[in-house]
Amino acid sequence: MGYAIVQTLNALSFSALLLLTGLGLSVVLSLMNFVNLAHGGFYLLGSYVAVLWLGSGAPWWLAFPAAFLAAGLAGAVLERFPFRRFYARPHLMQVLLTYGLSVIMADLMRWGFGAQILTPELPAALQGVVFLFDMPFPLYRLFLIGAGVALGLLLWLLLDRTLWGAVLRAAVTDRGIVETLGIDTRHLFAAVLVLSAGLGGLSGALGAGMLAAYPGLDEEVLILALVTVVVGGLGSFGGTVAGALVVGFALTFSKVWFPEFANVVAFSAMAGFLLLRPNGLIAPPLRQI
Amino acid sequence: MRDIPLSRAAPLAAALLALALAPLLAGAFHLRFLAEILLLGTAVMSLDLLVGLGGLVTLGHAALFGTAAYAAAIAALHLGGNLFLVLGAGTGAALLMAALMGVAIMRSSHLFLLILTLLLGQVAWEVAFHWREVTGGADGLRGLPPLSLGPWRLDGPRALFLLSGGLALAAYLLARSFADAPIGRALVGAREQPLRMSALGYSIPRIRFRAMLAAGGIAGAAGSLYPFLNLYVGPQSVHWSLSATMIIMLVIGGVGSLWGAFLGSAIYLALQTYVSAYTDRWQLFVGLVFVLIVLLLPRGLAGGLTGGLAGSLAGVLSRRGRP
Amino acid sequence: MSALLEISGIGKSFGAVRVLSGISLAVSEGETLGLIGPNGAGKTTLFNVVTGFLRADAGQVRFAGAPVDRLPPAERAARGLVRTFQKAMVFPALSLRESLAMAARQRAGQGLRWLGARACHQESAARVERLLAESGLARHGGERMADLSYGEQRIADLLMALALEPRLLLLDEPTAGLSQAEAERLLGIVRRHDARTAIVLIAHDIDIVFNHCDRIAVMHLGQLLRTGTPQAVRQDAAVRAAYLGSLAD
Repeated sequence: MGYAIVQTLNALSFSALLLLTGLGLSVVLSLMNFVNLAHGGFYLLGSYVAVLWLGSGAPWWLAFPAAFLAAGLAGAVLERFPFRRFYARPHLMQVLLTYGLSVIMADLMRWGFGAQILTPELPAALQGVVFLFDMPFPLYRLFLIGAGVALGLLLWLLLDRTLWGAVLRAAVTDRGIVETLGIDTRHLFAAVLVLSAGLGGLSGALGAGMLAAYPGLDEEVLILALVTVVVGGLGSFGGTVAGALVVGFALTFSKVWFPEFANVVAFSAMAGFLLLRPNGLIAPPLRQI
Repeated sequence: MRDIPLSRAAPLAAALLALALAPLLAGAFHLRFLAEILLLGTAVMSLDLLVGLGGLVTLGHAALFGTAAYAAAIAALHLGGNLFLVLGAGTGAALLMAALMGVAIMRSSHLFLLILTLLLGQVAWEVAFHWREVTGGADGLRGLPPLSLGPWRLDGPRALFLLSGGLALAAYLLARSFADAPIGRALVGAREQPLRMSALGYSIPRIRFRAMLAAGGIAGAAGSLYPFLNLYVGPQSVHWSLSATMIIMLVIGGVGSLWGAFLGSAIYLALQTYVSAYTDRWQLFVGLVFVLIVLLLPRGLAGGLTGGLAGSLAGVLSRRGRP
Repeated sequence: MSALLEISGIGKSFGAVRVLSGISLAVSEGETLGLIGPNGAGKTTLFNVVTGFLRADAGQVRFAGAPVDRLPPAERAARGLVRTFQKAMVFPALSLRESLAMAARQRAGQGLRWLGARACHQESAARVERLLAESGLARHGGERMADLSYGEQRIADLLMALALEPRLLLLDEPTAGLSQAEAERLLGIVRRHDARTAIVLIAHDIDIVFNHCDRIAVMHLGQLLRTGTPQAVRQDAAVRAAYLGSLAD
């Protein structure tokens, strides 16, 4: 009983991390139709910033806003050039451009932060374990679940329940009309990209306590986030939540049940799922003709 | 019949010349290096059938190449290095893998296809990495017997180079014939107007499946010979990052031109080999080159070259035509 | 004589919107049926269901005596149930000749060949040249489809369908945006090509429909209002009220 609950919580904490990373990707994908493979780079940048910040002795909780700002700043720079030029281009060109940039970012970070594995010094408040049904469970993972739920909710409210979100969704449907209302959609899209990059950085900061930070992690996280978004059905908020849960649980429980071939089982399951439902869990209804 | 355009005949002639001259001019190291370029270039060219003709971007091409490499290496370890045995085992295994990927490519496209092929490829990698008894796990397989054809041992750099060159040339002609045949035209049609193609009675899934089999067979033939360059095969030959590298090579060389794949593979491997001798930052260098090409030459170097060549030729002719 | 196409009880909804309800209709060999009705009547949706691009919620489609409901669009087209689209859908980068060859090769069962390509290309070339000659577009054969005029693209689109030697041809507003003369020319090409081909024609130009069709079916709000000879339809009170009346005023 306790064991099952602990594993479920493990899966949930991983899902929370996937949700935050996946949301950063799916926000630009669904709102701007932009595929950003540099998202893993934003994540890893956030992780490094958080590791350095937590080691510096400054107030620990500021590590998260710092990671958000650092990645958001990187996003703002890349948005001006060259992302902006590629919003209207086909997905293939976006994939190529952002993958190339992710290679550059990865090597720059290897240069700046070194090639070793960096683990953050967690603050006392987040260290240690709690006992659930006599089973120890890391406190940090509970914090991760809470942060995932809170931030996911916040983002949903922002996009779905505020005027800003409404303008944004309108701009996606018909950019021309929104511009005749006197709203500069370029600023709007730039803001979304910065938000997405910042979210990536913030996920990286949160994830560092679980996955540490090292070269190559950006690609691993990017792939899991992509799988999350794709399994979810590309773009819808509910889809990304569902995708994060599916991927998080599949990976966690395949490690429990098939320790040796965990990834084979999990990847095959996800591939099989995508073969049976080629448009993901929650597909927006599309009319071809 | 139609004339063969200059853009096709010229590189073909140049390639034949290079194949003939290289063994006389280049040393052992460079011959092996060229052989590697040719084999990887062949795999990249087969990827171009999917990406360039069909607009189908997959991230699982290394799984086809690497599966063939493992199958060929395992066959050689157990049965000896007979060239045809090795080629048959590798290509056959790649075709099986391609049939699996073909089911994916029949059913999905765009990002879904990218992720689906990535997942399938990673399953293959996990198997190669973890199934130690057969694949050697992380260490891979070493001590392969050299390739042989009847009484001849094909393990010198010159033999390996000529073998790779012959394979690349045959594969190029095969891919070219695929592109020009009805199936290749249908693949282009399915990319441009999928609905119209269905209304014309073409089954899009069937077109894609065949394209994947053709690409898999060619990539598999190249993969079968790959382990024998260094008598070693390791799990990185199956890993998705090699698939991504192949896409980088293809884009640098030029999507849709077929021969650009060899150019791209040469440039990438040269950067990797020569820049890494001077600096640890060669990946930064590759990334910059790649991004610059995406920004400035979306059709790659091959597109830039033929575009520039055709453009200047047309310019010369029109100037001449004027009174 | 049994019908070539039999549609019975077709229903289709998009979400809460009922687009087709209880449509039953038969088309005989060699017949030309006009399908008219105001915008939103469900004409194109009916085409999509018949050709397999949409799956109906209810009802059955039979073609040449066999049910085709479960067949994908390509399979139906291969059996001779061929359509065109509301907008001319051509391959912009291919030449007119190559586009027609694409259709002709499929008709010959050689669309997916790899080996023996040269023989395939030669075989389709003969059909293509015949179509080009019939249509009067022969001198445009080598031009890219994107470079043709709109009227020529519509004809090219139609020629691709004709290259399949269809038994039944569903034409979705083939004359929209064309002048009267261009429209007559286009329909003339269809009839001259093969008089045995049955045709279902959606058009908004009433004169064209009444002049060229043997029978006319009138749709309104997803339902089939009336089917009959041009004469009978013209005089039908319900049809006048729903559709023609508003035009006659």
